[in-house]
Amino acid sequence: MEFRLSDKSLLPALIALLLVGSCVSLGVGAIAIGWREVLVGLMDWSWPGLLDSDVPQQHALVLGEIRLPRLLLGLIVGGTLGLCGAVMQGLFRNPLADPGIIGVSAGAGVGAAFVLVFASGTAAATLAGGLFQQVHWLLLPAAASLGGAFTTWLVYRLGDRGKSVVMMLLAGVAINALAGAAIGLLNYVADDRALRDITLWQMGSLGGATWSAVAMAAAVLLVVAIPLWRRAAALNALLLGESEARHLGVDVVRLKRLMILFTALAMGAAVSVAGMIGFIGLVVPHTIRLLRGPDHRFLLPYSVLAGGLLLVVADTAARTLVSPAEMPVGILTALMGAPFFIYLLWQQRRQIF
Amino acid sequence: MQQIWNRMKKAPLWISCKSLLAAGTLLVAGNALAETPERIVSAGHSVTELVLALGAGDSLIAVDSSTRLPADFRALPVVGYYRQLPVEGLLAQNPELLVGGEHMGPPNTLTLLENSGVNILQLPEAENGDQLLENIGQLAGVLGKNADEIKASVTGKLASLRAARANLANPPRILFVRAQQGRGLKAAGTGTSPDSLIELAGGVNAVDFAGYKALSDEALLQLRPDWILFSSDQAETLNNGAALLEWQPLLKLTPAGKKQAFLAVDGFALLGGLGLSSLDEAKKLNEKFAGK
Repeated sequence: MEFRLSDKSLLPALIALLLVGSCVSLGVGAIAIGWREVLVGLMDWSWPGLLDSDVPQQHALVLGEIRLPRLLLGLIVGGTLGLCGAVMQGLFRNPLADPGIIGVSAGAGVGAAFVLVFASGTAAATLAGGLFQQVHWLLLPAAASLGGAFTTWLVYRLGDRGKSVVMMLLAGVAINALAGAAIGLLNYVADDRALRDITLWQMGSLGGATWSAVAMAAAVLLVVAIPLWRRAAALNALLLGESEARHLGVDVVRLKRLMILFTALAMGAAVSVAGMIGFIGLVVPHTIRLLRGPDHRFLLPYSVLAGGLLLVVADTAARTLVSPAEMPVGILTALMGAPFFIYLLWQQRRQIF
Repeated sequence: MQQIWNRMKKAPLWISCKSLLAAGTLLVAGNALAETPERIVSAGHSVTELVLALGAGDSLIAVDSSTRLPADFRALPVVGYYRQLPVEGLLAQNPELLVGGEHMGPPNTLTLLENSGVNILQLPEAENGDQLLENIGQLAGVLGKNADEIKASVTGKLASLRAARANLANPPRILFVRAQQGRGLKAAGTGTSPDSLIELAGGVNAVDFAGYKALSDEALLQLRPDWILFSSDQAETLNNGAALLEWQPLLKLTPAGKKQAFLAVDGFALLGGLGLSSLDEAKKLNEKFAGK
C-alpha cells in the first residue's frame, strides 16, 4: 500500500497509454481499415485535398464522422466520470462514493427518463410549439443535471453532511430504490417506443456520438474541471475534516455547494450523451490514489486522463467483441467495476462497522 | 477479420461489374426500370418478410436481430437490434439500401448512413390491410420489383378475412396476455400489434386501454374473454395455456377458462405491425373463433 509512483513515471505512462488506446480505438472496428489508411484518411478528412490520397471516401467518412467523435466522446465522458468520482470521494471523504452507488446517476436517470417519456413524443412537440423545438436538445441534459443535483444534495444531507459513511451508503440504497420506482412508474405510463428508448438508454452507450455531443460534453468538462482543479488545495484541506478545513481558511459551505453543483452538472451532461455508465467514477480515482496518493492536485487531472482511457478501452471492446453488432458499453464497465466495488467493501469492512 | 478485409477489397470491383451489367440491361431494355439495389440490409421482421416475398432475397446481405429468416435461407450477418443499429457495423456490410420500420434508428446512425451514400427506406408500421398494401407498393418501387402478384395475394387474403369476419355471428372477446409467473398478467391494449391482429381476425379486444398494462384480478373477471391468446415464445412456459390457470386461478371463472380456450400466436407475426405472416395468423385465429 505504501507503493507510490512519482509524476515523472505516472504522467508519461498515462499519456502513452492514452495515445496507444486512442490509436487502437481509431484503428479497429467493424470495417477493416489499414493503419496507413487511418492516418491518410484522417488527414484527408480534416483538410480535403491537402494530400493526393487514395483512401476511399467511405473510409474517410467512417474515420472522421464515426470513430473520431466516438473516441473523443469516450475520452471526455470517461474523464468526466473519473473527475466526478474523485470529487465525490473527496467531498464524502470516502472511497466508496461513486456517483452510481450513492444514487446520483440514478437521479440523473430519472430526470432523463422523464424527458424521454413526456417530452420526446410528437404530441408534446406540437403542443408547445416552435420554442419547444428550439430548446429540445437542451431538455435532456438539463433534466438529467437537475435530477443529479437533487439526489447529490439529498444523499449529502441524509449522510449527515458526509460524516456518516453508513448513512450515506444507506441513503444511496434508498435513493436508488426510489429512483428505480420512479423509472418503473415512468415505464408503466410510457408507450412502446419510449419504453425501449429508456431500456436502451439505461444500458449506456457511446453509439450516439456526434460532433455536437462532443462539443457539449467537452465544454461542460472544461467549465467544471478547471474551477475544481483550482480548488484542489481546499479539497485536500477538507480531507482533514470540516472544522480543520475551516480553521485553515477554507469556506467549507461554499466549497461543498460548488462541488455538488459542478459534479451534478457534469454528471448530467455525461449521462445525457452516453446514458448510464457505471463504476468508472469508482475504479479510476481509487486506482490513481493507490498509485499517486490522495493529493487532489494530481488526483483530479490524473482521474480525468485515466477515466478517458478506461472508457475508450471498454468502448473499443464493446464495438468489436460482437461485430458487426455492438454491445452497450455500460454493461462492460459494470462487469469490470462491480467486482472491484466488492473488493473495496471487503477491504473496508472493519472501518465501516 | 481477414475474410471481411478480403471482401472489402473485392467489393468495389464487384459492384462496378454489377452496375455495368445493370446499365447494359437498361440500354437493351430501353425503358426506365428503377435500378435494382444489389446489397440490401433489412431491419425488422415484417419488413424482411416483405423483401423476401418480393423476390429480393438474393440481394439481402444482412438483417437485424429481430428478424427470423426462413429455415432454409442462407446464413446472414446480424447487425444488432433495429432501434440501436451500429453505424460502422452496417457500413462494414457495404450496403446500397437499408430498409426498416419507422422506429428504425437511432436517428444519428441513419443520418451518417445517408451521408455515406446508403439509401434508406422507412416504412410506417401497418395497422390495417390498406397500409400493408401501401408499404408493399413503396418497397417494391425502391427494390425495382413487381408487386402485382403479392398485392393480389394480400388483397385476396384481406377479402377472405373480411368475408370470414362477416360470418362470425358474435364477435368473440379476445384477451392477449404476456404472463410472468408470480407477476401477474399484462394485456395488450389498443395501438399494439396484437390489437390489430385481433381486429383482423374478427374479434373484439377485451381491454380498451392503450399499450401493455398489468391486469388486476378483479378486472380480469369483468373482461369476460372468450379466448385468451399469448405469444408462441411463451407457449412452452405456459404449457399451452394450462399454466395460466394455475398461476391465475380466477381465469377459471372466465368463459375462456371454462372452455380451455387458449391459443398461441406466432410471436414474429406480432413484430413491427401487420406483416404477411400476420394475415395467415389472423386467418388461423378466425377459423378457431368460427369453429367453437
